[in-house]
Amino acid sequence: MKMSKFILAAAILIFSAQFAMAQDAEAIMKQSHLNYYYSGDDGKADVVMTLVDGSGKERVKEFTMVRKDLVDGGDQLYFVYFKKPSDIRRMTFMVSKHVDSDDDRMLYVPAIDLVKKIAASDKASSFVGSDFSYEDVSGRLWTVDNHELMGEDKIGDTPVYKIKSTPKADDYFAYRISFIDKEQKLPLREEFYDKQGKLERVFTAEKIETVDGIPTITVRKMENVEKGQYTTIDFGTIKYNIGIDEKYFSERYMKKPHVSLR
Amino acid sequence: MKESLIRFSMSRPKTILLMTAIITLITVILALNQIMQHPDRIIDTDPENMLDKNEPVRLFHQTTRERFELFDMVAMGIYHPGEKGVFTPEILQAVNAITEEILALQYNDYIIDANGDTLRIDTMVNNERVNADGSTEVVREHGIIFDDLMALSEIEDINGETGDLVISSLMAQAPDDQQGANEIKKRVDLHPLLANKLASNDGKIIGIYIPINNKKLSYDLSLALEALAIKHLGKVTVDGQPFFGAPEQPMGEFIVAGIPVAQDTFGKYMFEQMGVSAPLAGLVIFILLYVFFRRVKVIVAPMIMAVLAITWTMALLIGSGFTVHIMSSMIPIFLFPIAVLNSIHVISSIHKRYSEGKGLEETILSTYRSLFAPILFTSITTIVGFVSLILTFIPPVQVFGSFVGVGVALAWFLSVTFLPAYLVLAGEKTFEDFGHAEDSEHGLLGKLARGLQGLSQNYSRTVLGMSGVLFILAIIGIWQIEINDNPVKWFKSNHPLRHADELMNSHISGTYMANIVFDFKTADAAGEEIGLADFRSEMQQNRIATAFYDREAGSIWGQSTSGDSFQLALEADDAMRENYLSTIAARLEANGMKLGKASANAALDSDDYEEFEVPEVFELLQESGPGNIAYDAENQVLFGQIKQAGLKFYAFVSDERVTGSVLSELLDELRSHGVKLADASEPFKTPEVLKYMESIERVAVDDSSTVGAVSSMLDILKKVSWELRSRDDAFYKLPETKMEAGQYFFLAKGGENPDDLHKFVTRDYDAAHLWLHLNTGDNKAMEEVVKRVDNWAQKNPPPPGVEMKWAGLNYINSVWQQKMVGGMANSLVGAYITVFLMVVLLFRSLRWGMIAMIPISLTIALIYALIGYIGKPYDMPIAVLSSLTLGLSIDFGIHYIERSRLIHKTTGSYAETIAKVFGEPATAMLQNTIAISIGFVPLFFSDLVPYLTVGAFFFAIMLISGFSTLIILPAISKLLSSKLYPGQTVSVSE
Repeated sequence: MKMSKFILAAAILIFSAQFAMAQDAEAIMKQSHLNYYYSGDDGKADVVMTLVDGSGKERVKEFTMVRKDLVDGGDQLYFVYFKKPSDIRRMTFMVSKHVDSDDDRMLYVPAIDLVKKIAASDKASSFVGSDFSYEDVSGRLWTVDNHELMGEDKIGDTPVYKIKSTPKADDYFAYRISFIDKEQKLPLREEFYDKQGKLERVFTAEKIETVDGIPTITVRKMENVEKGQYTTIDFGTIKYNIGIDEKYFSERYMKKPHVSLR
Repeated sequence: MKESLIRFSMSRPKTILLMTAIITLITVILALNQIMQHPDRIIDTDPENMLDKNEPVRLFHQTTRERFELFDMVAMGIYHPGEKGVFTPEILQAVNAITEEILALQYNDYIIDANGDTLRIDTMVNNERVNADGSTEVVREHGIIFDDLMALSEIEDINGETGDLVISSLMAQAPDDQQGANEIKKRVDLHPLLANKLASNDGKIIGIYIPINNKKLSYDLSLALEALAIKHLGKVTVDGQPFFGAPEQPMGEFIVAGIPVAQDTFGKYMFEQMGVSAPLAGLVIFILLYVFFRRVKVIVAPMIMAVLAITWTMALLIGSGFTVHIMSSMIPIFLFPIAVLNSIHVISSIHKRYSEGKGLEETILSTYRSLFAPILFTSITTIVGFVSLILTFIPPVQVFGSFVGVGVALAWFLSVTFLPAYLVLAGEKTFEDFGHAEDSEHGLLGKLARGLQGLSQNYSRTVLGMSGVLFILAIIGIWQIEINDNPVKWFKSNHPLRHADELMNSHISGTYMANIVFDFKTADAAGEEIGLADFRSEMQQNRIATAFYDREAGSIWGQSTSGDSFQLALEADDAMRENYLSTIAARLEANGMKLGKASANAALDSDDYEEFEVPEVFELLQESGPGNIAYDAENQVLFGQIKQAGLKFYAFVSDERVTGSVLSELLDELRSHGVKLADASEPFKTPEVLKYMESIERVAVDDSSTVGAVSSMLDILKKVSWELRSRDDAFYKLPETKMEAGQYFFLAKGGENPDDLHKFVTRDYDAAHLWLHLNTGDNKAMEEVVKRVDNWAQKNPPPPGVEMKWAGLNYINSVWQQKMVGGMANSLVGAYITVFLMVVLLFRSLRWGMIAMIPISLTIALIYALIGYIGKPYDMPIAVLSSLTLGLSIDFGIHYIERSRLIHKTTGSYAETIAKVFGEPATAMLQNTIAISIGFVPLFFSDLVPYLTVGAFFFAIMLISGFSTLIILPAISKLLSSKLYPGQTVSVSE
């Protein structure tokens, strides 16, 4: 009897420890998500996106990206204003991100002066032809995955948590392993694996700078391992908490974006 | 010399046998070594290899494939003739399940079939890759390009029907009901890249296209597809009928097609064919020899010789690193009868002479004395016939010709070394009663020979007259020859692959691919740098021929009329800026406004001001009436306010805008001078280039019965334009500006596979291609399309800088075919002249030489006439026949003339000579004619058409040339007997 009680106690202890760890993992992922995607109340940056193909050839896109959080950790507005290459200059792209429903996406095609709503059925879709998906840019909510703390590790000299996230529902990747900076709670590296445990894509935070007191990943890289190509997104002239008016995130301003969105 | 060789072989028979064994061992080891080292490089069924590896057409084809990341495809078709066709929920679900299992092959190396058994299919292959430094390495990778798999569930569709733009998988999930299935059908039909390509317009066929990077996988893959079809379609019922149907009912089926499968399957069959046909030919010949000579121990000799000659030749071929191609796989079947020929003459002669009682060795020696020269010369002419194939410049045909030549030489060598040695070893006992058992001259063939003698001698004029008539008919027939080839038609018409090919191509646009590649080449951009003033003066003097420009870089370059190249790089300076501002001021003044000067700092800091582009400012002023406008030189910005609308604006006057305006001016002026201009930055976004491609597409596909469709990025642009406008048909058209094209391309890359676009246009937009779907693999169809398009392009040249070239497997096939026709003419003429010179040399008589050529000329003409009259296309196997005919058929003539002249030397009388010639020599020639032609009979039963063709035609050629020689030559001899066989003896080459 005593023995079985002991086992029961031990079992409870182990389970609760595991439960606690899972909770820890989820808490870390949540914090990391907030730090990465919700820093400040809003933000604006001049972005240089470089696509490097298998042969090492580079192609560059330049755009301004503006974000406004409606609820911290919740719905957000994104506005992208393209500058280069010249044939897509003045194209604008707006995403109204919803946590509990599909996002609304709108695209303005200046060549034919048309704003078109784009159905966001696929979050794995490429973000403007790059190796980043829409979800990589606007964030994958931590609640759709189960998280498991695998231990602690180091990226360079930086101590990190190693966390395995498995989608609760069948998804475009089988699992992801994130390396979260212990102190700043920002993802330094993310590995996406397929069903067979084969590494498909790798995200790396190439450069972290503190802007307006907020630690920010200013150079982000996504490598497509199979295709041997990668994309870097370089955030320049970042500004936080500039108080952008919500009304500028509308169809009218897509055609002629307000100065604060360019 | 010749006698000493024979004597040596007879005195040292065991040495000869040992030597033979050693040679066999060495050659076989050589071949085995090669097989062990390069097991992948033994069999080659790739039609591309019909051209040399460095042939420009082939290199370009290769570059095109790499540039656009195109792969060979294995096509699986699912067919149902029922009313709803294949678009039923049940079949679509099965299609999805099959697709999923194919995709799962990237994780598993097996599938589970309908019986629950495991079927292994290893998709990992060894591919050779060329590194940047030119070295090669072997990489082990997936042979299937899973990312590029084309199936309903794997294809993205852009859909603007509802007003929103939906970019999603065409069939993420198979529908549950018929309505859903119809919906899928509609989506396919409305996608120009898929309609009648991925599924047929009549809804009877759905395809799954599996791209592969290594053809060796395709046969195994086709077996896996079969298992998957049975597993998933086997359970499906349509209209209450099981998918695979009751025998009398129309039923669904699955088919596997595509050139890679055809090739790989062909390779597998080729092996079987080599393993079956050659031994069978040997058996047939063995039986014939037995009928002729009835002494197994004697006729074993030619059999061993043939096997040795074939073994040595094939071993040398493989050992020296050549691949076994469809042509070279036929070497054994060619060598078997040829290798036996010489020994039939020898044995036949011994057969005749042995009864004279001179003893074995003396009989052998005397036989070789009279036969050495004809055997040598007939071997050489045969070699000439085959080796002349080198003049075709088609590598596999060259290899084939050379190695049959080698084989014939080896067979000759064996017939003067091994044969006498073997005969001596066989001993007198073997030859007891040899030649007595049945006098050959009284046998069937003997009687036939006598019949021919009567015909040619009694009706010589009629025979020659008839031959003349036949020759004229033959010439007419030759004009009817249709030159064509089609690799799929290498299989018999009842073969499943032929069935699949016909079914697919009668329902969908076409499974045969060719590409028209458009490339952009700018003039040398590194010409002499000239300034703006110089450029203007050159331009005004009409001295500029072509000009390329890059708006973003602000540069113009090209060639002057004198052929010099120039370049002009615009850089914004104060003067240009002043000039630009003054044009702005002038435009404002024309509208009653003035350009003021002020600092814009306050405006730029204010939220009330909106940024615009300079041209937009003018638009606003036009729309909303006058206002204030000023220029701030410090910030290089125009700013102001439109009175009526109360709109505050600013617009930067960037360096780019200044140079851009100068460039626009210059371009307008160049145009007015009639200079041809080309936009060199991303040229495949410019409307002129897109429109030109569209016209070429129309020329290729309109009114064509063979080009079912064309796929290109034009389809994508039109589709995007149409979907963006919520499917307003007025907008199913190409973009009108470069910007519009750029933005459509941007949209087209918005899906999960943004790189799919670059199967059609390069990432730099400096090359694109039209992908032609032909519904037949006939080369003549391809040639017709090429001619039609090229003719049009000649009259309507492409925009400056744009070059047009052909690529694609189907195009390559048509190119080597044209090469082959010319090459065969070379080969035939070369062989004809050589053989003629040789017979002249052999007979030391021009007259005899010319006469010897008559029967074979008629034979060749008749064979080609036959091809013309029966409408058999002149393809590769047929093409090689001509030169061979020459080399083999002349043998009969040589034997006839040489023997008749030898006999005449002893008899001195024409009548006696003819009587003797139609004894043993004519009988031996008939034996040979029959042996060699019957030797090709096993090929009649081949499943592969080229083998069948070669067998049938060789059978005919040998019969015709054998008989025509034995009829025409004696007829001529009769008419010219006084001149050809004068009273005195004639000296004959020893």
